[in-house]
Amino acid sequence: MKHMKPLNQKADLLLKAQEAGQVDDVVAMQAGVAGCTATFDPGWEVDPFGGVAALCQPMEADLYGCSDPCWWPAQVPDTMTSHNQWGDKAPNATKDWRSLGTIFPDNEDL
Amino acid sequence: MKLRYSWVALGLLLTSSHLAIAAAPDGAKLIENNCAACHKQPDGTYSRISGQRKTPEAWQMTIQRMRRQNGLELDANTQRLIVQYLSDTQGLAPSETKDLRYALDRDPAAQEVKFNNQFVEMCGRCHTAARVALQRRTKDEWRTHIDFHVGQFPTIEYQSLGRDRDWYKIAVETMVPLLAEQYPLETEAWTQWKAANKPDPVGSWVVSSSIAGVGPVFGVMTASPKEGVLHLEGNLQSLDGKTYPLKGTVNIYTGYEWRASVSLGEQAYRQILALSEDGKNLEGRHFAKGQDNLSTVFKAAKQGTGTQILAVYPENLKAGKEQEVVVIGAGIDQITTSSAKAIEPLSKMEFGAKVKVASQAVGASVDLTVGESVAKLPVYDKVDRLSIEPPYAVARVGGNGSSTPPANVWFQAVAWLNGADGKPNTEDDIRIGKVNPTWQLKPFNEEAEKLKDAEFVGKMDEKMGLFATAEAGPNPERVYSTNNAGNMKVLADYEGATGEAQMIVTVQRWIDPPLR
Repeated sequence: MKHMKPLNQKADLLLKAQEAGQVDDVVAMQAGVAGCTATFDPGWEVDPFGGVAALCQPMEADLYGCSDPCWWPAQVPDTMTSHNQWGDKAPNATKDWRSLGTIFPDNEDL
Repeated sequence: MKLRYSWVALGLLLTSSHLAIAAAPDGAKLIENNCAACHKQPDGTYSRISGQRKTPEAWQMTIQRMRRQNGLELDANTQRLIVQYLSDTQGLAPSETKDLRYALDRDPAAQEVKFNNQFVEMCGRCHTAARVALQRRTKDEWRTHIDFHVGQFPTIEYQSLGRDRDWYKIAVETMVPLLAEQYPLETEAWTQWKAANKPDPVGSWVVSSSIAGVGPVFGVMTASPKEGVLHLEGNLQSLDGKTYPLKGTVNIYTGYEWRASVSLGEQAYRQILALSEDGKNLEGRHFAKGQDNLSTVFKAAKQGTGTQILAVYPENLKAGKEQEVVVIGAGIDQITTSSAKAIEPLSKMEFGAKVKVASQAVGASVDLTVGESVAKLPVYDKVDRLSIEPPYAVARVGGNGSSTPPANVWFQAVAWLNGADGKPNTEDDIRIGKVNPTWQLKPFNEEAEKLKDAEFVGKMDEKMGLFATAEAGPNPERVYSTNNAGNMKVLADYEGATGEAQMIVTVQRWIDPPLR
């Protein structure tokens, strides 16, 4: 980092934290139960530290930013290929999240 | 004509003389009519289809995807019959699903620990590793499967562990041979299972299970065929004597995969069970529809197949006391005991018997024996510690006018004695079974305390250990209007003995396939 200088406040803080040894190693998410997102960044259900405080929440605020490029494909439908119309009724997820459907027809029990 | 269990229809159970068998629907014909246009190859096989075997759930997911994305049109009954045919002819043997039942019966607390890093990084980072391990394919099929993923989920290559290494090369050159070796299309297990006599689901089953927030339930359900459909009917009851009538239908796939839709009491329930190869047992989980986070273990023993104890309640005896015990199982005619004092028979029931037994010295157990089946009731004076089941749980916010129901959690406490060494958590500890403690929630750590998780995540029923999750959606009362998520410590106290578990309360699942 000798030849690099932070350009904004956040980068500056991060650098200071790093120098003070306050930055933890990011560990892969392995704390979740079966079916949880394992290693995505940011995580969906359980954060890298095994809690939820570092999750990207409220998840409605950033839903399409993260799910549309299919970062959470196991938990949020990807509207790119598989479920094109999933978000159509909820253009602003923070407000319209109630209009989002749950994918998987539960009336087709085997 | 509707036909719900085609193994039977296919004649594999024709030996069961009491079955009136209707004509089998021609599964091959259905595939020809509905799949051939896109899949049939010059040699008569079907591209993609012929090279794989999988579970009924996996076949169903494939067909649903065909409908969703490729314009396939099918009515519900035809879809089910195709799933039936494919599961019967290209399914998995019992031994191939044995260690992965948690993915099929939706065990909410299952943690996948047995898959190696390479496998988890490649496959288990988006879905359960079991979803893969519950499939068998030719090498070519596994290879095609990789390219299918790239096409279906193009961003797979720039997710973490996709963008930061040569993902595609590893997938093709390392994973394909590995998958082909570990999960090949042709196996001895499948060849044998195809030829084996299949267990007969028809008959009376003694059931031992539980209902979240209620406790143990037990009783008898009978499976009987009527007009090509296998009907279930019976009654379960809880320890306080409340009855839960059970009625519905069951489909049998691949000769042993039991999938039932029933009403239990006033709720719609699903049973996802496996018939044992010898036909004597059923085991899996059941849950109220839409509430699989509250699923519980469901066991049954077939009447007329020998003697077998499924459960005893209570599971333990307090020292110096005589205790009434309900013994649940099949063929419970005569119970003998290891106790110096003989058992006093109280009543014989359809699902077992009620007896009175005397306790013994602390640390010993009173053994109840029926045929070759033994139930051990540990005798205790004072409980040393509790363990909590599940020790780690995930609840999910839900409701609040949305399409996702809350995913609640039911905790149960198991009491332990420290054993001869007097130390907790050592090999000689004695499990004395489930007890009913009082329950409470505490923040799991400082972070949770700082974010006041305890105020927002939901409520714990302090008597039943049933946690009801708070509502979904951004909460303006929280910092950043964050969700009602949190990291909680679940504490149980029984006569001074304590135990704790961790519960993550997190966001909902917007997509929840039969195989996660």
